[in-house]
Amino acid sequence: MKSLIKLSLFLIFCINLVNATHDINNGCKDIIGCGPEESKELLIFVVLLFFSVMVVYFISSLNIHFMPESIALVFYGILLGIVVKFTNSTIIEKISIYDADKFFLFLLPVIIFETGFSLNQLNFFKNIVPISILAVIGTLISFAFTGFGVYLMGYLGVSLPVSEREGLILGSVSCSVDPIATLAIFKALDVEPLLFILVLGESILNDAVSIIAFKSVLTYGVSEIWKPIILFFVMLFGSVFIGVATILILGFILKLFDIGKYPAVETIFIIIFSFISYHICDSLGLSGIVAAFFSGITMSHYCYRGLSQETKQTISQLYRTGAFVAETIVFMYIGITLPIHQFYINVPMIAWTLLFFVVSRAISIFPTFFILNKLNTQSYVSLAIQTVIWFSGLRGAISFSLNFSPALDDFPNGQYIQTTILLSVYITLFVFGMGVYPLLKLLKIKTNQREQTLESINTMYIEDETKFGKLGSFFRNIDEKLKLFFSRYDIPPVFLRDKEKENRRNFENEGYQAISDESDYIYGKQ
Amino acid sequence: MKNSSLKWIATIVLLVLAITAAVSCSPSSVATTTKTKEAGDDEIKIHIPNFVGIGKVNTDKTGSSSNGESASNSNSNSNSNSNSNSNSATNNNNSGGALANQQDASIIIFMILMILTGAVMIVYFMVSIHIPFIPESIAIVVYGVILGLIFRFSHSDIVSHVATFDPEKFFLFILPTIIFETGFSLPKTDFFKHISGILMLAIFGTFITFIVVGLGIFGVGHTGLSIYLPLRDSLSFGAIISSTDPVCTLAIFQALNVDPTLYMLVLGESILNDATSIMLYRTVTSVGPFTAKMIFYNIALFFLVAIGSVGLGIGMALLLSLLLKWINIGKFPALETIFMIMFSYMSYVLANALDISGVLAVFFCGITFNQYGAYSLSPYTKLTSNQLFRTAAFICETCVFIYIGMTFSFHDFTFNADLFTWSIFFICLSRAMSVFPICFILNKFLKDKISIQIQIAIWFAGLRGAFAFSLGLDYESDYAKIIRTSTILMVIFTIFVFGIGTYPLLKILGIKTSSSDQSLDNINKPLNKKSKAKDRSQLYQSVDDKYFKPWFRKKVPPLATEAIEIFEKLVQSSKDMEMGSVYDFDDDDDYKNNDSFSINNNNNSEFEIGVMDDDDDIPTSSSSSSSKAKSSESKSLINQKSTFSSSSSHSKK
Repeated sequence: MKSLIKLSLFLIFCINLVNATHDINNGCKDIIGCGPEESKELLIFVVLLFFSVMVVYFISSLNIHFMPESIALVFYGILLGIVVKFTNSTIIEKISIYDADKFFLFLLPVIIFETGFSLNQLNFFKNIVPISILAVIGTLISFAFTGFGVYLMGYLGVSLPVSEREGLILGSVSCSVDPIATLAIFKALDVEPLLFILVLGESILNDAVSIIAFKSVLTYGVSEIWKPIILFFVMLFGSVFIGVATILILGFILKLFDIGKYPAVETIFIIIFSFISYHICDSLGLSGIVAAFFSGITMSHYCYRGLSQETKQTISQLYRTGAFVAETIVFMYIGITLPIHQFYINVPMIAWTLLFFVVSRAISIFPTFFILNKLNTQSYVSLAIQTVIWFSGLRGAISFSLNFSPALDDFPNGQYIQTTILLSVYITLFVFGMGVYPLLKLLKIKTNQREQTLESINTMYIEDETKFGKLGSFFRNIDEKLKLFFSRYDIPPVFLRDKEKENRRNFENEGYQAISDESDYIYGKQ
Repeated sequence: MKNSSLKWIATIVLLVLAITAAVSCSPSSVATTTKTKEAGDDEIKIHIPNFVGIGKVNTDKTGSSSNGESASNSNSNSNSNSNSNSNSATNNNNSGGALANQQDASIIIFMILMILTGAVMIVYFMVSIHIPFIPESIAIVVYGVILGLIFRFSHSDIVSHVATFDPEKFFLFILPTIIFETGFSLPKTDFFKHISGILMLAIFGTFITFIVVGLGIFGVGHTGLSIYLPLRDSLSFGAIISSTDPVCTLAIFQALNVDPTLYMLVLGESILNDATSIMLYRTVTSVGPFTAKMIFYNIALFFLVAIGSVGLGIGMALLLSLLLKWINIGKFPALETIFMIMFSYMSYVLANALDISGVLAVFFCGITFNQYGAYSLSPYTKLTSNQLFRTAAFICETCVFIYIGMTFSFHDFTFNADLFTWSIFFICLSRAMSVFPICFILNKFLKDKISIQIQIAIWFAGLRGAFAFSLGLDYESDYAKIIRTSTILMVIFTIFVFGIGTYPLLKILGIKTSSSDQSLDNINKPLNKKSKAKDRSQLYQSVDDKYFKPWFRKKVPPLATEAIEIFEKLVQSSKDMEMGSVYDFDDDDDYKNNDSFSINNNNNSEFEIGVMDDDDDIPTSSSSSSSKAKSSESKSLINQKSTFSSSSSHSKK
């Protein structure tokens, strides 16, 4: 309690500080390269970010189950947006405008790469079949259903009349389940691994489908239907290939030059290469998300174990911290946009869209799992889990950002479509986000008692050898071949480790364990 | 060795080729300048056949609208070509392009990453082949020059985007990172021991340089020996060129691991004289005639700014320390890292927003945080933050040097041989006029004298770097082109001549240096370098012990500190096992002392203990007996835990 009072005093001080900076006269501008203007912008941004981190901290200390921190951040953003609306400062207005470019260029790759990096690979590849079916067919169903449905309703006069193409755009932008929001919520709850991996995998892979759908609706007519299909496969496999290849090149470089001598150089290389695949794919027009995800997986499978201990420690914290900050910024901006955005509301259209979301998701999920359960008795997906998967179809940051694409302005009803998508993002975020925990309780699916996001940040990645143990022979063959390929050189193998190295590593892991025990002891783990 | 260097050369050549290929293949950007827009649109349709779809429909609209705005911006700021990206991003309101510019931006980022990879490889290569007299910063500048030449002959907008140095980005992002890291890893005792010398050099030395260069250039122009520059422009040139640069100086001196007195004087001067330089620059470029009143006003303002920035930096760091102490963030190491970054950055940005010196603020923020806040961090963050900051600073420095090189070959020169020769002459002269008299005066008053060798080395270490470079690009006047050119030439000249010459000079003068390049090794040294000098002023010491440390440091149970130490040693020993051939520690005692996280000079507080004494032959702290007792006590505590007993027994081996 005492610390709370102290903190609130501190917050008041900070607010005064910010207010003080607003009052400074704007004379004497641009003395050197950075005028006070940019500094002020950045200052305010950093202060906002600071408070949002504090919000996360308090939410996770208070232990409110049904309120994931992402929702709390959105609320915080809404409050900020309301404040912004009533101030007439140009600087603040400038800050509060959401910049979709920056999101796609800097925030998204960090989040996706981290997801791939910390993924449980065994679980993912074991469930690759249902994941890809959900991601491809489910998304297509959702796209077609929503698109044609909205068009039909408009045609029938029940909703706002839109053209066929507009309807399909609405469908394509909003058909993909968002990885960021979904991940944030499920990670926080630490749900059952099967459920987690299904939802996660679907939300990552359906990005490629969504982008293809969006592009093809804008570019192609109905007669050229085969083009997008070819394009889709080119895109998917191209992205996966580039994602994997860049990291293997990195592995080569690290191994060839024995860079482990200098951990800093190693860290720099890893940071550079984790972004490079995303940007290569984006500049080629492929799906950067898929590439970043698979390079994350490859990194943790082949490169991570060859790194020096310091680099391991640094990058695992770096990635998690980076992803955490990126998510925080995204949710904050989703919140800020709500009060200051100009909405063109058409109630029936929104209602129909939401209804189609729910129905199309049900249509794609339940039959898929019904068939899969019949065919494959190994991994049985219970009805409870199916329900949660159905429920967790959140639309989030990616739909939100695609929504600001200039292409939408071209259409007569573009602004209505924009509003519909934005509102559906908010509604799904609030309803599904806050409803997931009660639903999990209701269905008696195992969850953790407390928020886990912040704690998961400091666990080391300790790679376990059995990751690929139960995989199909096809993947295992490739895996073995790759390892063989990389270990053929006479330089000490990076990808395979010798006995001595292994012993040392175990020993060090013990050390880390000891330290974390110690810090638990000091800081008190409940 | 030969084999590996061949391998390296092959790789670098391949890399350069790859970049060249990327340059020649890369399509022109859609939304850069209004002039090339039409051509750019055509090209993009040819180059990217199917995928571009999204942009195609609407590029013209948004492209032209944002172009109009960014062009109007860039008219006023003639050199801000490269921030049209950020401009258009901010100018685009809600209708702004999510995907239209994204591909181009991705290409730009991709190319920057590739260039950076090449630079890092070159650094690694330079370090591996052990050429002590070529600092890696110079190698990177050469690399930048080569890249710039390649880029110059490819007429692509994206490439010019990549290759244009943006002073704004430098001041907003790169500079604070480097300076904070410097402050954070500074040996505080050494620094404060030489504070008087540093201040004298930074304030009066810079002022003398400014006057001599400014008036000298003006006088030479007036008498017809060189091109004529008006008084104001000459003085501005003097102000721009007057500050020695921390980035370049640091890179070279850190790499050589020189004598601490020399290092501290040069480093401290180069950081603190930025404030002087900026003040001089502002005074000179401000509109209105020079009057006595205004000069007096500016002197007062200077001191206000200096004290204000230092106060702000210290205040920010203390706030952060309090925050870390009060709130139990130790549970979440990620939050700690975020807070550290945010607060140090806030001090910089806030200082700039308040129109005072951000460099000073962030530097003192780093120092203060290292003194107080760093002790409240959790073990995890202590281990990682160090490497994180150093890596970030390293990347930033590399970027700066690449851009210095690239701009050199990208720049449109208005070369004037007379001016060039005279400015070199005046720079050397002015530095001599500032260093030797000031050191003479200092030697009169100080106990430990600055030897003539060190004076010569300080005189020689007057590198101009990124700071002068950015100020020069920022300058605007009728004679701006000439001044810009000569600034860039000065920067390149001083970096090459002084940078390459430093090592031979130090050898000739007989000043101690390390034999190999150290900049990469430095990165993984532990957090608190314990300085060799221990005598600090008694008053500050007692106040610090009595009030500040208990107030601002968290009371960490001794076990945690012990755990970190053990772990540190463990990692270190395992690393030695692995690469004993690479590390060549000539100074073993020093290395052992280095890896303690705790404060072991004169601590009376009960919750701090000294280093583990089991492999320390010389007791390092005055209260070593008590700390020994404590550490043995805590050792017995540790031994109760099975994991620790195994690890500590290992470290004894």
